[in-house]
Amino acid sequence: MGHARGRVAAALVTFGVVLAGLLSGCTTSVTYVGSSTQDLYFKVPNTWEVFSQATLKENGWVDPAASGQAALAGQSHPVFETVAGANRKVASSVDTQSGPYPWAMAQVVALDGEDQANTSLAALADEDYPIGQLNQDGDRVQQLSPTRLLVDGALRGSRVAYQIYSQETGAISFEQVAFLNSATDKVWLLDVGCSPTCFQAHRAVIDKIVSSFVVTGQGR
Amino acid sequence: MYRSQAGRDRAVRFAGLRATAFVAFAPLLAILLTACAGTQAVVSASQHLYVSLPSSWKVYDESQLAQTQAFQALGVSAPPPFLAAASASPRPSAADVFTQSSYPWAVVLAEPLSANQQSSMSLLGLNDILVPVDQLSSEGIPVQTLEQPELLVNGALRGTLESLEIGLPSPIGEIDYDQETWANSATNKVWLLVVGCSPRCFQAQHSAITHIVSSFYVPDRGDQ
Repeated sequence: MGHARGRVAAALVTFGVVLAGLLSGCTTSVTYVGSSTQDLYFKVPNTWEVFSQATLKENGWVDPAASGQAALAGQSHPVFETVAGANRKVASSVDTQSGPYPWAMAQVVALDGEDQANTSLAALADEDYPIGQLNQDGDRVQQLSPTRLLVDGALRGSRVAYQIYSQETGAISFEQVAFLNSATDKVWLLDVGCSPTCFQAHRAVIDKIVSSFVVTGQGR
Repeated sequence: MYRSQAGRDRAVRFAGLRATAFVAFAPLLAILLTACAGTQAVVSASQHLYVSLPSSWKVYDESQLAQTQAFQALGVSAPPPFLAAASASPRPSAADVFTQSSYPWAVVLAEPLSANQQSSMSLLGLNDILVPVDQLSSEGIPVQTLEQPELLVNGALRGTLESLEIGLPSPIGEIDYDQETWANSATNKVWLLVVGCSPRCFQAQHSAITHIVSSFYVPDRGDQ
């Protein structure tokens, strides 16, 4: 009788270990970031932190008041912004974009009539950082990878990596993926970057995050 | 701002058949005469375009158009995969096309875009495919927009509809035209239809011209 109990107990323990092993296999190693209403998501390592809008606002990453004013004035404006970082310190200031911790910043921008008429695939590179302007101003801009044109159904876009340097921001390396819809009235974009040294060290992770960027729904 | 696709779908119905059916069964280039309906279709299955013209119009192919002076000044790549034109003149000539003729003419074109054009093409830039309107305007050529431009969306295709008056030097002269242009999602191909004539003719024939432009059909083929 005692042996039978022991065998049942051993079997339960074994089953428990196997179940735990199976469950641990199901545990996701990534965090999904995005917005179902804005039709986008991307994946970051689950060790990263996704910052709250209050934190981003407090530290100058987002400016809802300015976005609201631009919307009222009928100008291009962000309708969604989110930032995630490999370290909590990323959220502390926009200056950490040139810091030692990788960050990912996604935006959805509603384009005004003028931008709708004039935006091209080449112009997508200027959506977050004014690459053309920086070039003209004599700040250093180095393209780290050739521009890849992307087509996904009705979405068209580009993927490119830059290293920029300006006295204001310091040196930032980043990879950007951006998509435009057919109507050319909306842009979905993701920038992932950090300091040039950090960018090189975390190239594989950054590449994985950029590759995970998906625009769903209406845009497609 | 956007024209209803349902309206466009109705416009492409022709002699009881859908344009897509024509495209599916037409040879590479077929100019189908359907005298009973009073219209003829200019179709390219390989280039995926369709436009319906009155059957009385004389249709010209690329080689006939290459002889005309007017076309030599335009931004047509040599050779485009598809180029055709037509004239409503009772004594038609290929040389009528894209001039201040008293009779309407039409030009239809499908053309690939170069890598540079693909990268830099905007909705506004679509208006400059055949006639470099911006450049001409900056050179002092009078250009006037006759109607508010329309932005068009059909699935993965985007386009524009423009109505312009432009005073080009001889032999073209002052012309009014409607131009509908489409680009695919990959932005490596454009389809274009221009229908116009002299300003006086354009006013008189505006209804017929609008009808032809509304028949222009490029099927949405996803990201192709």
